[in-house]
Amino acid sequence: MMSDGPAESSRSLADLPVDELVAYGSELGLNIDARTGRIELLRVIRERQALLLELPREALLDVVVWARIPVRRSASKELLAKRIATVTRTRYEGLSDPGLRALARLRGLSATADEPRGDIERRLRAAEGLFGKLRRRRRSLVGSLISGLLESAPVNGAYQFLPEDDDARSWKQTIEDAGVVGGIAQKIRGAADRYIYEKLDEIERRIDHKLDTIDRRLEEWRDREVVNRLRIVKITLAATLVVAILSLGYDYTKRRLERDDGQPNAESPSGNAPPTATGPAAPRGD
Amino acid sequence: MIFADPFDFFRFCLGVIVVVYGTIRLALSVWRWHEWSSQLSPHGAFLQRYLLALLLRTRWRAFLPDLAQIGVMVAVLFVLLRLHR
Repeated sequence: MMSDGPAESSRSLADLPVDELVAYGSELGLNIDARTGRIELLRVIRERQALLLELPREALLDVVVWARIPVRRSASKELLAKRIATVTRTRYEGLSDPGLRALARLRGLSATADEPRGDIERRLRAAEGLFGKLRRRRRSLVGSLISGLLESAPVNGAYQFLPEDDDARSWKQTIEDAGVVGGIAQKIRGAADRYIYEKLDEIERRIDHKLDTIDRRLEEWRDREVVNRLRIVKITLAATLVVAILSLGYDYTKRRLERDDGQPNAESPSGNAPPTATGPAAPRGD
Repeated sequence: MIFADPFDFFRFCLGVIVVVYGTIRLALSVWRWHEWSSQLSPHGAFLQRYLLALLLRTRWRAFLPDLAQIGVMVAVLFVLLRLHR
């Protein structure tokens, strides 16, 4: 979307519906949802695009190498930002200073060139939040247990970028390898293949997005259903409580009346009052 | 006589009606689900598995206030039942 140029990008962004704007912004690492207004969505996405233009490409590649995300060296800044948005690692050893600053800025934090590295790292860790830290500790503990059971020794080879497409080869190299006609045919076929791949990727992305939308709507429907069921349970319980309170009140009143019926005999001033029809008077305080 | 008190009779009848009604409704629901799931096409079976996965993915934390209310009401109900003795 960024590769089309700023004007076209702005126009195509403005044409997108809100859910696609949210999906696109989330892919770029923005913390947004559908409740954010459309104008605000457009503003933050354009800000993110401006930030990507500003950030040095090498710094983004440093982050990718540090996080060991498989990408091509020629990947666009937007693709790099999307991959970096999925990184949750907080151990910053091995990440270059420009990479650390780029990571901080992509996570919405300020980071200047003259700022000490430790301050930026602290800010990045603080942005994770308490629950994030707890979740990380728990995963770390479980991970170390499983690793101890399954892994003999950690394997950490040097990072390698994914191989580039053959299309990156020059005309000269292609013609040298395959001859004039073969080389030109390969290049044209390559361009056609690339176009088809791009279109297929776009179709796949759209299908994935639609499936995600369906999934999200079904989740909303499920949540509404659960809320309805819980409401029914609450109404039933409330009705049961009302009946139980009435019943208890009735029992209490009945016992009280029975006791009051029996008390006058026991409290008679002479103390030898005749027994009532229901039987002898109950002793006081039973 | 078992029910010398009319209110005891009312309580007994109410309990029987509610339990029978609830049991029949539950049994009908279970039966309908069983019928539906036993006659599924492959697509239906896929949908059924998806619905199961969707159910398992429910985040119960979102319903915590409702569940807490239900828990309190159940506790109050047990206290009330105990006070009847």
